[in-house]
Amino acid sequence: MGPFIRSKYKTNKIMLNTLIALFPLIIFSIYKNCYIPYSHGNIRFIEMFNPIIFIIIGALTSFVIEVIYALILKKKNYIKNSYAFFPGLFLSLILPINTPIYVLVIGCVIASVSKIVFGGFGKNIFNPALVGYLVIILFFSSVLTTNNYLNKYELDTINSPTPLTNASMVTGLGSYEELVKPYGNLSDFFIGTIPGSFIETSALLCLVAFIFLSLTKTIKWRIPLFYILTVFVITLGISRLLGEGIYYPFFHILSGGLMFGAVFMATDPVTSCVTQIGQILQGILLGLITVIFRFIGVEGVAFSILIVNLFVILLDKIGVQSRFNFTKSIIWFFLISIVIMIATILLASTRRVEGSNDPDFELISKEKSNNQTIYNVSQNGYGGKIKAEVIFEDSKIVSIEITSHHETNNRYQLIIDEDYVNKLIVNQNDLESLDTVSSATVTSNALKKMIINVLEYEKSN
Amino acid sequence: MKVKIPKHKLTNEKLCVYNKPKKVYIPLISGNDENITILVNKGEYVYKGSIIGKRKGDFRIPIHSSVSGIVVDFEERTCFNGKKIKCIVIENDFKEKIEMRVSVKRNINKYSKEDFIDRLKECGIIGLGGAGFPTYVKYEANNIDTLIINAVECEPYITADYAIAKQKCEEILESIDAILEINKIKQAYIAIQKDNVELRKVFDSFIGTYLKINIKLVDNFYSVGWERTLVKKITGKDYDKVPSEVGVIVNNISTIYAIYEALKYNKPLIERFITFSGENIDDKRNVLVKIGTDAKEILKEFNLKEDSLIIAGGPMMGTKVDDLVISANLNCVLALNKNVEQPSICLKCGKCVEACPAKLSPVLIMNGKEKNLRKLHPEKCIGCGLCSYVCPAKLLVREKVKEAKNKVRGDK
Repeated sequence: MGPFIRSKYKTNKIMLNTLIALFPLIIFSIYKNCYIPYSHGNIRFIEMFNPIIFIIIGALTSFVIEVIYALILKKKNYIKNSYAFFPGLFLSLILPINTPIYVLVIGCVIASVSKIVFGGFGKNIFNPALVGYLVIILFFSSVLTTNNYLNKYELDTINSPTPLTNASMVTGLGSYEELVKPYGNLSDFFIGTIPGSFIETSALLCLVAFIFLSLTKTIKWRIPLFYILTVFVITLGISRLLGEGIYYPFFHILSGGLMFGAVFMATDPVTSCVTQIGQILQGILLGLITVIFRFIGVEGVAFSILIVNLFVILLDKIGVQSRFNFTKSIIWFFLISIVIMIATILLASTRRVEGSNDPDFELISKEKSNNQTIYNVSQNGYGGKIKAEVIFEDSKIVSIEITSHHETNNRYQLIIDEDYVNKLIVNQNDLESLDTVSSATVTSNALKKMIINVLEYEKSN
Repeated sequence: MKVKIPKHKLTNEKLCVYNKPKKVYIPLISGNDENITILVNKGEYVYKGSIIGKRKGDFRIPIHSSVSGIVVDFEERTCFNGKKIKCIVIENDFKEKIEMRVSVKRNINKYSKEDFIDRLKECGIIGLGGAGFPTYVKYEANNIDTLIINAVECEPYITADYAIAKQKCEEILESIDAILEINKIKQAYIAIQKDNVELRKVFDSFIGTYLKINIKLVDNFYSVGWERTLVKKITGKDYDKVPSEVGVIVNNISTIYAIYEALKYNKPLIERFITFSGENIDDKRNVLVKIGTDAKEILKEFNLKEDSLIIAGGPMMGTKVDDLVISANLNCVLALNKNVEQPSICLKCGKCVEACPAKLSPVLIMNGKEKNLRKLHPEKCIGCGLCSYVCPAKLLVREKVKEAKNKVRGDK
């Protein structure tokens, strides 16, 4: 039956546009993760093609799983319309670049199965690629240490993992020096020359993709727009409350998989809202949950998308109501803005106890690996900042190394002569009673305070 | 979302008349109502314009013969809605005899409101835009202050209204003026699409003397011609069921001309302009056709290609038919290529939700459980077909919504 004319816009076109939008991102990621390490001699020429093989294996695994499914159920036309390779393709893009192939394959199988159990394309509730991702994160965490996120060149040049793992060490709140500095400045975040999973780092190209996909009416543009806007508003609120700079909200929207997740994953047509108001609410909810997750200390984008997937039906119900009667939706917006305000205040109040609020103390970075925690800290001494690397093992200080100082030489010599640094380690449980070094009181006192601050910091976490 | 659809409008302005059907099949249907009393017997001689049937129930609209001749049979024929409808078959004697000559009214403004309504009723004037609602009923309402004349005709291919508006511009304006005066309506708006520059020019050159009649330009997207959209656009008001709630009457421009002929010449509704178009006929044009004519006859004259898809109505809202008799509320007959696109799987892109002018959520209605249907209000569907048009999976969304609509209506 009618209508007897149809628009030229087909599902194929939607999928094709998505691939077109992905293309520059993939090219950039290959440049960043393969060409740069190659040009610095970190990898061999042949290794530059590893990501391409990785992507192909991911996409193929998903495809094969659905072909098997179609064969078993004898659904002849199913494969033609199911875009079976998409879950694996996306999963291979969002995994850390050093993920072992077998982990990828397992993830892709799970991704496709999670689509099939709901009845295949168009019926799944959860974003398949993210289900695969979730399972990998939960069961292969030992394989996916933070260093897996760094490409070979970054491994040489950067000594802390991705910006967000770094941020999670300070439970989401940190100074510009802690959050942004180790990776350059915010423009590096925007362009994408920072560590992260294969595809996610370039906010700029995600933005370009967003504009392209919105203009071609491929994605539900309201979801990413309100998602990123909400993250921005909440983190801006937090930074205002704590007196942090404007860098802070930008750090949040530019880091992690937020941009990529918002544009490509949250807008997966099958698992997102169909009504306009539903889409706006979905975006806001995603933003809220993502920020909360980041403060708990996990990368929130993937998990928040999966959680919100559960609420899509509910949000669409609100969306349907408000289509007939817009005033009904106002109460929801009112409600959600109150929740956002409360969340902002609560999150701001979780600010860590900052080295007993000693203004002379500063935490530069914190890095965890196995049972070791390495702090880079600084304390104002006699002639300026004394910087040190403090290593904890099982919550005990095992080494302190002064990395730089501006103390006068003869005073510093006294510290060395007294082996004061060693005394600090030995007396770490009772530092208050440790005497300072005579004739070098300020310097030794500064060192003592530094360690007290670090200890307090370690305890509070 | 405002959906623009390729218009496929006729470019030639040739009008022609097809008044030589050997037989006419007068469908016993008025609007969607098939409850008609037959007032003639087999073998009886009827004049052109004789009353041969009358609608039962609330709206007692008569049905007229469109030719003079002998009633030969009663037969079921396919009508505009694709259903078989009982028809009175009359063999044309080509004499065009009229039962009783009524003098031409010099000044059609000189009707009283009662006489006006009676005249519309006697002449069987119904809305020619599609629904076929009896026109006189609209004018029975009081407190009407605005008359909107729908000259939008936004569905692709159809130019029947446009043709008549251009040819009979003066008569139409005269008719509007008379309606305003008789019913004491303050103002009239003629709604024309923005890109229909030609029609605007035609009206502009005559409208000067009619101070109460205004031209209102509306956007070019499809479904702008829906009554509700027009009333909202022009008066800014929403209504629940009928526009008269907010003091508005909406008439199709062809209906306005039919009213003119009824008032001036006492002419019943026995013929109308119909657009014959589509890629599968050579001659595409607007034809003045007698009600009850077999559409196939005309299509064959225009060299209908074999294996065509024949559609009663426009490409969006029309119905696929095998054969067809012309009824008063049909405005278009199309002969298109049969190209069926294979539907794939709904990916919940939400395009249909954005497109729906009735603010429905077709995708949810289509995939929803039966017990939840009522909350989605499928009964509000106007059948415009935009949901199916925009669907990237080429699903028959409109049909699914229609099914839901019938289910919900059946529940009541």
